[in-house]
Amino acid sequence: MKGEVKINIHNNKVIYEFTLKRNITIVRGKSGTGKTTLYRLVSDYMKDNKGSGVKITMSSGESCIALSDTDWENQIKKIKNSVVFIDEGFNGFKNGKSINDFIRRIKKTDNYYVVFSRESFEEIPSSVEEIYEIETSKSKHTFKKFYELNKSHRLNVNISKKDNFILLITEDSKSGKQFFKEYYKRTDMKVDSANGNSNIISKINENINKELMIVADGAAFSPYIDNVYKICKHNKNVNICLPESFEWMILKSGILKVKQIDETLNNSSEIIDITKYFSWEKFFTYFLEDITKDKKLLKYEKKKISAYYLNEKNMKKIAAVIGL
Amino acid sequence: MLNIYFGNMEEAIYDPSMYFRNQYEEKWIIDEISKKIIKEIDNSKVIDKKVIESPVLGSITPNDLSGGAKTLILIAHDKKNIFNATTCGENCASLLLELAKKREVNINLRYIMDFGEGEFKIKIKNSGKIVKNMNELLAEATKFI
Repeated sequence: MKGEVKINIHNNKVIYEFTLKRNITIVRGKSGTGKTTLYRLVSDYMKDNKGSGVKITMSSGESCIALSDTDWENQIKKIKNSVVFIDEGFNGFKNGKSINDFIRRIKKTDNYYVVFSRESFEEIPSSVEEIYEIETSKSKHTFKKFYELNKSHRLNVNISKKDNFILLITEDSKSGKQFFKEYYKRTDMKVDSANGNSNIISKINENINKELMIVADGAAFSPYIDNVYKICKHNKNVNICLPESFEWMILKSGILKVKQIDETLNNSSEIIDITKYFSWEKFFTYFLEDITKDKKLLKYEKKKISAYYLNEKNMKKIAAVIGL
Repeated sequence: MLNIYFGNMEEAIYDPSMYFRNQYEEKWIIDEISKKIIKEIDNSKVIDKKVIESPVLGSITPNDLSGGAKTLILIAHDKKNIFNATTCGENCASLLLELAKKREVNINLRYIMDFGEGEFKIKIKNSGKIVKNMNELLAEATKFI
């Protein structure tokens, strides 16, 4: 599947209306909001489409599938170009071994997956922008973003008008870290790297009493966002900024005059092949490397950022993407 | 006191909804704590042991309750098992603390539930440490999850 998919699922009591934008959508939130009811509607529809009393319309894609507990491995093999719903208590999420098996089986498929779970899976990196809760107004249920990011991609908790952090922690240990080190070279600001998303929590805990700004790839931060959100909520000195990725910041900054950038960023959902790029940050790295590969000065390499991206004018434009 | 084991716990009932479907007792539904759980979590009213009135779905059976409500009912009534309370959203936190006021309540969580701004007493079973507020809980629980 590619692009946005609008879905309407209803019976004579409830209506669910939502739009999916990427291959993985996570639905969490309070108990009693109707997650299991949505799963049941899809499950009933699968048993006897019209005869179920459930109606489903999709703007694209073949069908909606409720993944069963007992035969999901075989089920996955047969599902193509569809939206797959996975309920809480799914057997494939029971332990690390089964999650790895699940991820191995879905990684190169062209389906979209809607996962009802409060548990975060390191093995399933997806976007913080595609985590929702169900909002109900009378009988109509819609998806509402669970973690709101503002225009500067800051998580909408602890936002102050002026940045007063003294330590910036980046998930990126290569080009992103090199960039922020250079950007803050002539200031008192310290820049450190967590060397990967999975170390961010321990890095925050080490520095919990300082004014902190965390910068990480929003496109793949779903496994960590819930813990970080709660740390931010209960520690007013911790802020987090989640652009899609560092490469996306460069693309978005306007410092590269390449025709297809705007089109690619504005239509990422239509353009990114999910069978090749499970999460979008990998695509943005590939795309930036690809469009600059034949340009001597502009050539982008993840391991060592070139001088072009570190000149003062360009650094300001890149940092401005996240309001720094 | 509320005792929480964070992360994968082999002996916990992983899918409480399935367990509820096969093990709940009708008398549980009409006692005061279940009525309170069903009212607070699902905004629904117990009519009798087989019927619950939901403002959205109409008349439903106990099996149609939310995963969170079913898990809380199990925690309240089945004292011999430990349940995976990840099926409980954060609107279940105050009821979990209330259940744990009267006795030792053991649960498994695969996410860090927010127990709010106030003081509480929770034992993190992974380390044995007792935490008294969310900052202490976050510092300890993030070691395991």
